[in-house]
Amino acid sequence: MTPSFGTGPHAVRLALTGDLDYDTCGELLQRVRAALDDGGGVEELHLDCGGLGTVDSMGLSTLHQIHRSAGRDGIAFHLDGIGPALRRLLELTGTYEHLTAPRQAGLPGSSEPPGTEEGTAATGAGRAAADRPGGPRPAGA
Amino acid sequence: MTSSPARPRTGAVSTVSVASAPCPVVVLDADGLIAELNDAAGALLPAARLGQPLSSPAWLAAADRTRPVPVSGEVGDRSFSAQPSVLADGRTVWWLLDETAYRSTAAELAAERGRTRFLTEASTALLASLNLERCMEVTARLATEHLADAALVISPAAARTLPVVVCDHRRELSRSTVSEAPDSVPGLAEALRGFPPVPSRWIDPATAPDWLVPAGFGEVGSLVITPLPGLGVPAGALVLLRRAQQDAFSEAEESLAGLFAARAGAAMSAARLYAEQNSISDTLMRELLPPTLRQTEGVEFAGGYRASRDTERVGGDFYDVHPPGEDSPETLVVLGDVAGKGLEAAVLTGKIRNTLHALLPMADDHARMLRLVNNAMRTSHHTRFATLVMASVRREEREVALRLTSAGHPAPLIIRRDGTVEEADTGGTLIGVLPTITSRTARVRLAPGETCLLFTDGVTEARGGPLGDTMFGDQRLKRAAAECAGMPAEAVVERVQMVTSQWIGGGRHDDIAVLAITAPRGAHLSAVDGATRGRYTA
Repeated sequence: MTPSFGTGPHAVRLALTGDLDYDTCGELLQRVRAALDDGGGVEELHLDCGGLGTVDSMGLSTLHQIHRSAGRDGIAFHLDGIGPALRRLLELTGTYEHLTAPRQAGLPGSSEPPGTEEGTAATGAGRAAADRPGGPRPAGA
Repeated sequence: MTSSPARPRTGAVSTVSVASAPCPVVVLDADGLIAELNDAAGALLPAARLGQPLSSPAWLAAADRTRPVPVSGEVGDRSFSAQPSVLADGRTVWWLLDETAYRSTAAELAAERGRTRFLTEASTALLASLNLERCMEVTARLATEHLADAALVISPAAARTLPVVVCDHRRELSRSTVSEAPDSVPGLAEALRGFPPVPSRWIDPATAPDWLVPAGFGEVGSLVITPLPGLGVPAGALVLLRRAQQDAFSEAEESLAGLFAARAGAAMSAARLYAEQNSISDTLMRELLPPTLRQTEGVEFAGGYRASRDTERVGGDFYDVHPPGEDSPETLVVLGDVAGKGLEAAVLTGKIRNTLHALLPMADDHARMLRLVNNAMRTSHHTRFATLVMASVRREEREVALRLTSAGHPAPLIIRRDGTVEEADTGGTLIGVLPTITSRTARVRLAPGETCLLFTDGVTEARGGPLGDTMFGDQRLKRAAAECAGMPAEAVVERVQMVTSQWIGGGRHDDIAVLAITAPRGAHLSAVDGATRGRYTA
C-alpha cells in the first residue's frame, strides 16, 4: 500500500495503490495524519482508490477512522475512483452512503459518540440529534 | 664495540652502540658465550656474565645461532621478544623488546572476544524459545558452562515457593520448588525484587542454606547472587557457585555475569509476558468452547469452525445459539466477525456477544436489537467494527420459520430441496462505527430437508485453487451449497468445510466459520433439548 501525494492550496490528495489490510492500514493512517498536519488550513481530503487492491475489515475500519477524524476537523472527505470490489464491500457493510455523502467543508460535523467508552444505550432520538452536522453539541448532550 | 646494521649507503656511517641502545641488548659469539651486555640487559638478566654461556632465559639460550630468527618468552613476570642481527664475525646481537603491555592487551582482547562470543551465543540460545522453563534451563546451563561450577536460576513467584532450576557441577539440569522465604539468603530477596537494581551480592559460603548447594558439590569457595533484570518486571535471580579450589570471581567475570544476567532476564521476562498473554487468550477462549449443536425445538443446528493458523489471531469469528427462554420464544442464532486481530478483537467479540445475550428478550425486533448493540459498541477511541447475521428460528408444523437480519455481513444462503440456492434478501449496516444504522429483515420458510447456511467471509475470501491465489468466491460457495440439497445440517457443514479446505490447500487463511440451520426431514418432532446453549468464538 503506497499512498502518493498531490496537495493543492486547500486540498490533500492521496492515491492509494496495493492492498489495504491489517498489515498496511497503520501506515495509511500515519501518512494521512502527517499530510493533514503539514498542510494547515486543509479543507478537503481526497483518497483516490483507483489503484487499490483488496481491502480487508481492518482496511475498511481505517477508512472509517480517517473519515471520522476528517469530520471532526471540518475537512471534507472524498473517496475517488471507487472500483467495483470496494463498492461491493461498502454496500455489503452498509457504509457506502456514509463514506461518500458530501459534507460541507469547514463545518465540523460531529458524528461522535459521547467520549465515554461505556456509551449508554441512549435513545435513538437523542443520538440522532447529536449526530446532525452543524456546530458543537449542546452542553450535557 | 660498534655494530652497523645494514642500511642504504648514504656515505655517512651511522653507528649504534650497544651501551646506548634503548632496550636490553645481549651479544652472543658463535659459541653462545656472552660477548657483550648493556646495562639494561644486566639489570634484566642479573645472572648473565661476560664470557659465560647464557643460561637464562632458556628460550633465548636455546635460540638457533647459525640462522637466528626472532624468538619470544617470559623474563620474570614480563614478556619479551628478542630480535637478532647477525654481525660479519658470526656474533649475534639480540635486541630484547618488552612486549608485556602488548601481550596483556592481546590477551585481554582475546578474553573480551571470548566474552562477546559467549554473550552472542547466550542471546541466540535464550531467544530461541518463548517458554519460560526452557529459558531458565538455558540460563542455568550457559552459566555453568561459562561462568561457574554450578548455577541456580530462581524465578520470582507470588506464592511462597520459589521455582528453581539448577545446573550442577556435572552439567545436569533439575527443576524444583523451594518452600523458603527469599530473605533466608542475604541479597536474594533484593535480587528477586529486581528493582531498584542491586549489585551482585557476595555471600559467605558458610551462611548459604543447603538448598542453594547442589548435592555432591563439595565445599563452596565463592558464591555470588546476580539479579536478572527484566523488562520492567523482575525476572528472577542467578546464583553462581564455585568450588573452594577454584579462583574466586574476578571483577571482569562478575561484570560478564551481569551482562549475561541482563540478557537472560530480558529473555525470561519476554517469555513470562508471552505466557501471560497466552493465558489471557486461553481464558478468553475457554469461555467460548465450541458448542456441540444439535436438534433444539425440532430444528437441526450444526456449526463448524476452522481457526486461522495466524498465531496472533484471537477473536475474529464467533457464533452463538441461544435456545428459547421465558422472554424469548424463538431460538436466536448469531454468527459474526470482528475486525482486527489479537486481544483487542477478542475483547470486542466478548463485548458484542455479551450485549447480544443481555438483549435476548428483544430478539422479536432485530432492527431494534442491532441499534442497541450498535450504541453499546460505539466508542470514540476507534472504528473497529463487527459484522453479523442474526437468525430467529421457530418450528411451525413441519416447516421452520426464520427471520434473518444481516448487519454488514454476507447474506445467508438458502439451500432448497431441489438444489437451488438463494441469497436471503437481507442487508444492513455494520455494527460499532456509524451513529445510525439501518437493517432489512428477511422472512424465510424452510421445508423439511432445506437449510439456511450462515458463514463468514473467511469462506468466500479463502485464497487457493490451482493458482494458489484465487478467491473461493460467492459462486463456488453457491455451487458447493447446491450439492448439499437435502442433507442434514451436520453434513452440510462438513461438506462446505471440506470444499474450502481443499481449495485452500496449505495456504494461509482467515478464520472460517459456518453454521447450518436445517428443517429436519423426519416427520415427527424430535426430543426437545433446550438446556444446552452452544457458544463459540475464535
